[in-house]
Amino acid sequence: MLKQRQGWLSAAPAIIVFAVLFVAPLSMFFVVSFWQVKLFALVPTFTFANYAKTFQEYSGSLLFTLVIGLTVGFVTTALAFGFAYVIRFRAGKLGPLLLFMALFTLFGGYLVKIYAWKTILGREGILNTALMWVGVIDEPLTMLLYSPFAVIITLVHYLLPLAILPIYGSLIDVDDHALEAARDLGAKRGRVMLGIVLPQARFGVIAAFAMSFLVSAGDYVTPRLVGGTQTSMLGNFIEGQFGLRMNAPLGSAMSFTMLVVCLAIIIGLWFLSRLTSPR
Amino acid sequence: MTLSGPTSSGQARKPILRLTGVTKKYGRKIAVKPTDLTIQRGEFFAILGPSGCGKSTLLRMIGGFVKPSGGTIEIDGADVTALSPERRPSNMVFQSYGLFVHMTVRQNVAYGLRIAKVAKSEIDDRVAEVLKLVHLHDFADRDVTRLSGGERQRVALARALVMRPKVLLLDEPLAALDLKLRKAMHAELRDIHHAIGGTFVLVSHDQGEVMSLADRVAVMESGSIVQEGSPRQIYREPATRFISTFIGDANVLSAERKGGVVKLEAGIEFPDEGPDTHVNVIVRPENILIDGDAPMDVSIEGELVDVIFFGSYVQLRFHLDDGTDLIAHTTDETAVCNIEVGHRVKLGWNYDQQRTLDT
Repeated sequence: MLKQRQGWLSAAPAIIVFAVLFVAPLSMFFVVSFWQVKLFALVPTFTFANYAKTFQEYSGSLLFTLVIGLTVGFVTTALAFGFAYVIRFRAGKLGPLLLFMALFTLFGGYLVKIYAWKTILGREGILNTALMWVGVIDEPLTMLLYSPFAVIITLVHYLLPLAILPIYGSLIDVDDHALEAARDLGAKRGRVMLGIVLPQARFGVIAAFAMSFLVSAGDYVTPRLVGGTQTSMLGNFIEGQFGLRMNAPLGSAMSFTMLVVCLAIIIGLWFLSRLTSPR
Repeated sequence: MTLSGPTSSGQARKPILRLTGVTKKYGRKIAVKPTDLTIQRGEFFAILGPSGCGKSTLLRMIGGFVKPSGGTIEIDGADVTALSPERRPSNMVFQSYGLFVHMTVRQNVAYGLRIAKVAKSEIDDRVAEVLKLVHLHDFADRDVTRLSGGERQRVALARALVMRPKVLLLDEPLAALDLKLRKAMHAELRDIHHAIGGTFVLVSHDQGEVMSLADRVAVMESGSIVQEGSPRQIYREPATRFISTFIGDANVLSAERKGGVVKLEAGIEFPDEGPDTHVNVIVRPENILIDGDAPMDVSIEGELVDVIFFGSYVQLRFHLDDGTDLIAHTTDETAVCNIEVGHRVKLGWNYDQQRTLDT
């Protein structure tokens, strides 16, 4: 009993911070999402109008945001898995160095990476200049920057080192001898990967995917800087509602719609991953 | 013994495993020097040696996990040197077991059969059979993470045995278990080998394990096999000084041979033909005779300095005049009662119980 009480006591600071800085504001915006705005002032009421408007006007944007998020999630997770696998099983003594190099890029920071991609993908950017110099193209490609492609590549680059970590963490525990045993029992490399490595790295892979998917789906800085006018994600519209339009209730409703949909996707993937593992 | 015909005798003599000049180099370092080895069908063969002698590398080359730098490996007449582990008719039991921790006992054991696309009913039968053999039938649906070390060991064994390998490779399979469990597993492994036959190749650094399990032993030292034979043969007639102390206890007495006479530093002389050189005279502790009236070929005086009671025998340590120690084991406690520590005692042994080694 005493031990339990001590446990709660030591968790108290974390619980308080979580409650005050996360649960309270979230609850407030949940309530606000049922309110209305009249003459730029909040009017407490109970209406589903904001949610209705979200689905009528922003379902396209929501879908587009999810597609970007899922794409970034899958690409990042696949690359991170490959990289983590090489570090863990193939690189030998070079493994820690490779891991360090991947994590070192985090020092670059988020905005620096975005601007780096602007310089690479831009009209006068490195890629266009190089392609023209080689002679592959005569005129600079304008579709590189300010496109969904630019958003995806920037986010993947930013999230990759963060996604490597949980996957590498779960691969550390995979016994080398278990892989050898699987080969010994007749499994080819691919089968060992699917049947032995992947199920044991499941938690890391899901964590990496959830992280990259959620960060991408909720991002509104990257699309604004490299996405161009055609690539507005739901985050940009939500920002607009809270900012210029001063319509917090609609912004809240949009946020909660997004939140619920993302949660559903993560839970769905979790069950899907349980289905594919042997049990 | 009667031979039923040339075919069957030829069959019987055809080795299940043959290594010819198998060697492994890591850069300039040689882990396994060119090695020839022939193992017969149904043998329980052991490779014994201290850690780092190359025995595990040799076994891993047989299993296909290490690519030999030279030589050929044949299993049942087929050259498997270039084959990867999944294509060899051998199965390995790993020291750390290498279990699939996300599966149950049954799923672990059935894994290889499922890959081989064996019919479901046959998988069930064979898994049940092998789990019974290793006494795990009550644990079939348990997660392997919830098993003890000894139980995990049995899962690893069952997982390999269920494949009915032509050669079962055991890489220090019991090293992680405590002494009592290890001894119980020795008896069990012997029973299993009797029950199902098959060819077992064990790698171990534990001479007791090898003595109690194997029909035939190869002793390895610094990358090469230095002696091959039955455990009894190797104990009785060790080929080198190293083997004499690695397998069982031995008194190693330094001596010089000159003109067909060996002279021990302790002052004893006896005739022995051979080149003039430094030699070692090996005498097992149980062959040292103490203070008896029994005639002994070699006789020497020593002071008793230490007595240790081991249960089934007593170990006595004597200090010889030249400074060397002589260890004697005796099961006759009455012989010990008469002497006290500090007493000088007449010791000795017979020529047929000693071995003179040039190396």
